[in-house]
Amino acid sequence: MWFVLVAIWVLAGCEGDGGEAARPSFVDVAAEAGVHLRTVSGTPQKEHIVECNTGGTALLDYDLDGDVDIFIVNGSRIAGYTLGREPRAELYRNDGAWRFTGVGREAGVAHVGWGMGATAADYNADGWPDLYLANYGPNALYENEGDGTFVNVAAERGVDFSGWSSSAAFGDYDLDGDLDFYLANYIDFDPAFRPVDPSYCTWRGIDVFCGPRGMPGERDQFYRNDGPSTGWTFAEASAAFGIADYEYYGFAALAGDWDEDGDLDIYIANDSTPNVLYRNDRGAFADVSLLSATAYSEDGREQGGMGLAGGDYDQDGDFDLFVTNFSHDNNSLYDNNGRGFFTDASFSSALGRASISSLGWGTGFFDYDNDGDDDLFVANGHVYPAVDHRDLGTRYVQRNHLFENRDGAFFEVGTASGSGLAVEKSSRGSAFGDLDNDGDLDIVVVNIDDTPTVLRNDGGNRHNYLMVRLLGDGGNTDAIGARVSVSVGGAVQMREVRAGTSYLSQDDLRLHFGLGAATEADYLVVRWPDGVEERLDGVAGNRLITIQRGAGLVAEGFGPVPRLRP
Amino acid sequence: MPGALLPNNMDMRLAVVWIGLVALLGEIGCGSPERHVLKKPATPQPLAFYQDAHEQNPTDPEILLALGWLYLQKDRTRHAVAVLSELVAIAPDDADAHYYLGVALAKEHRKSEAIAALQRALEKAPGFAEVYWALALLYNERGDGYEKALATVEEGLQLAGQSGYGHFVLGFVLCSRGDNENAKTALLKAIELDPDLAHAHYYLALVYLRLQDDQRAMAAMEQTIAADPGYTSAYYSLGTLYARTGHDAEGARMIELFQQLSSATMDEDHYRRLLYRQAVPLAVDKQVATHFNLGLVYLRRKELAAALEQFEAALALDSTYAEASHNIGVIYSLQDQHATARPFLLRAVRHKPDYALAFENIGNNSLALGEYAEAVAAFRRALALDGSMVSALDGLGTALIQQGHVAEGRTARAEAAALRAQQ
Repeated sequence: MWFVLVAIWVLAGCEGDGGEAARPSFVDVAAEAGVHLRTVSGTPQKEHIVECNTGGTALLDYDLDGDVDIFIVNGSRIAGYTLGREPRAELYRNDGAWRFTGVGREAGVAHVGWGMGATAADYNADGWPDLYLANYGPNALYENEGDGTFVNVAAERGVDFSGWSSSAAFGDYDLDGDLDFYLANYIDFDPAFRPVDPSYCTWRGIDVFCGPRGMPGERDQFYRNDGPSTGWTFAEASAAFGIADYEYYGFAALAGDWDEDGDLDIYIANDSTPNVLYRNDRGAFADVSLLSATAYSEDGREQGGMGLAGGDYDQDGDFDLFVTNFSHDNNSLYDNNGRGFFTDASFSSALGRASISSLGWGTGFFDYDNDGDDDLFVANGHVYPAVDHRDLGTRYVQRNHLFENRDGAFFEVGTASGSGLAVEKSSRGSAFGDLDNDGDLDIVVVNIDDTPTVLRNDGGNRHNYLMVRLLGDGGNTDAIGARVSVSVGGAVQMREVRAGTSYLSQDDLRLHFGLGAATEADYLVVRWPDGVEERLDGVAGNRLITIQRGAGLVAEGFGPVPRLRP
Repeated sequence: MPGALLPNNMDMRLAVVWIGLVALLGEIGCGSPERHVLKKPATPQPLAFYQDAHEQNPTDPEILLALGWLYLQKDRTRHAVAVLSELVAIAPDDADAHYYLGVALAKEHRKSEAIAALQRALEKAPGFAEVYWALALLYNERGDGYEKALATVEEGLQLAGQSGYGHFVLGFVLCSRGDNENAKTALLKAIELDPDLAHAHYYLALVYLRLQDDQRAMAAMEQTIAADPGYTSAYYSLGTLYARTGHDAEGARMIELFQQLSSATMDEDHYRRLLYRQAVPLAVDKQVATHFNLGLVYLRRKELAAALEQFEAALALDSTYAEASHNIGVIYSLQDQHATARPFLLRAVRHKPDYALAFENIGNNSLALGEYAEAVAAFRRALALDGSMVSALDGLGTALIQQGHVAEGRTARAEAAALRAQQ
């Protein structure tokens, strides 16, 4: 009895030490919430590279009822399916209280085809979020009709590229008031093509599907939105905007103001080829990847770039970049010096060493415990099922990682953060949003050939928070590209509204800030996409506030999106 | 050019093992009396010679070792594994054979077999320090064996404490583990013992970068390049360092050099995949460039027939492509087909009259054909275009001597020797 008592005392002591007891936990509630789409992506043994990448998820409030719905893409197989039996994408309507209903078919957005990525953006400025799907095969632009249904208008709008696309990143790159987008493309794929060099069809001594090396890359594209006068059509304008004709293997594209000059730059994670950073000077792009030190690993090697995150993890007033990479290599953290030049901080931040054995995909900086800094999530899973049959130090299914930020160094805390982070699947896309409007961020993870993981954050809201929804104007109703800075006790957190994040995915457009013990932010500054700034002082926390450009704070509290749009 | 930034297709593990192989081979002959000394095979002949010899004498251990070594040098690791496996079957007590097989298996990513082969090498020769370095790198490479790697390299250092490479491996493992301070100490020791060890300078620079000491990192990167001007990734790292610290022009220059060196290491399939495009065929000018670059890849591998085919394809698409025409001429010359080479070399200078290298090769070609007056004229033209061409000055001397202008020829050759010393 004495021993038992001592043991309990010791454990209690551990819990109370270092804030362990306060750590939030994540629980996988996918099944009970009704989010049960089992994705399909070719054969279980993965005979072709196209079978290993699907897919993404988008968190969007498609019905503007004030809660975040979930869209999940689906794949297919080389042999195809008989009509009517094809796998379909699914849209899950959030009915509140962790109940979701699949409404893809009735909403007309249960896309058939080999889907890869999904991005939500109100491209036609009617106030309703539309969905762009990057596919292996024709891409789709599902226009939200505002009545709970969508119509695919990709061909009419000129954005139905039929190669192999991965993801899109929307933003007003040329500052003309409407939303353009960058399209990352992967391989000019032909299942019959085999590289000359057989080493491209083996990996560490095992026979695997060929590629991407040895296969022709697909060029990325840039689509300029020509606005209402043309019926919101797009023009492919890569050359005019200075986008290079690299034939890299593009996966994720992330828009953000990396050089702090007020417009949206683009960073692209490329598989097995150099990553590319385009510096934007009001619509003129220049490739600055090499000089900015974001093309390669710290020792000058191209890596297998998969997913991207951008956040100010060290709170020095600029956005840093994080890239997930292939296994037996490190994920990369690039620390911005404020001018758009970066230092590889992968190992000094402890993120590099922690990622060698895993293969990373979806990722995002987010404040999971509302303590006021950016933590990091990484979805993991291998591409080769055959790794399970060899002692390679890695497995096909992998645990996802949660890294807690402690003064700029990251510590993996997943094993102590709930059963949801013990789930082992082969994960791909992931997206972050407050699915239950309780003030902390939940995570949706797509798993290949499997059901998704929906990670409910229990306890993140033990600390205070502030959520911000922006209403833009003109052709950019969601103020994509706007930046919000929130100051609490002298520390400034920054977020940007981004359409196209993580790996082939899209986060909740509402911005979330942890306030720690503070119940209000000292001040909040919105820098709208056109550079105009608005400031609010003494902003009370633990609520969602809605700020409209030029009108300040127009609503507070969760609930339907205010109908203040044109 | 699309993809011009690609440096190579190494992944982390391959990079590590590559470091191991190259540098380990640099260790040869440095052993203390009790140490096993790794033998470097003598391979004065080209690969084809040993392939033929192997066909004639399939069980000759010396030929097998030479062939396996050459395959390793050329990164044809599957062939290396096959040949070296034959060798260890024939010579099971040869520690070096087991070692080379271990290296080849490591390069093939067959880790457990590589470790077994290396351990067999140790059984045969317990004083074989290089095996410890190789084993340490293998244990280190996937992120879950740092402690074992450290213990292994320490064992090696007990055998060869004055090995710069051994201390480098120690530093490399510590650096992988994130132990920057101890890594720095080990790498500085490695440099003290072997100042020319470029890997040690480079990883020391990375450690300084991790310690946010940009100035020392820059100096170490510069030392890396001084130790090995072909150390491609150092140019990238140094370029980014310069740029980040406000030295934009120097940064741009380093990046340019990095790109030049990188394009020289691009691989066959990279170009082949460009040529393969069907949905959006490559523009003709890029097809020309791609054929040319592919030709360079083969030329570097001394696969002359394949290189010739690509240069001819480039020339067929662009009949004015002087460099392609020149390289065709050079390949014929390398095969002693000097008469066939000549029109291609002449065509090169017709389309590019200031092509100094082509004039020099016309001079060499004329020398080979016994046309000394033409040779003198060509060498003089080359030197007029580029006065720093020592080999052209040498060639001019030879041609003059052949013409009977012995004194003038000797003067030219003496000038060449002086210039060479200056350079």
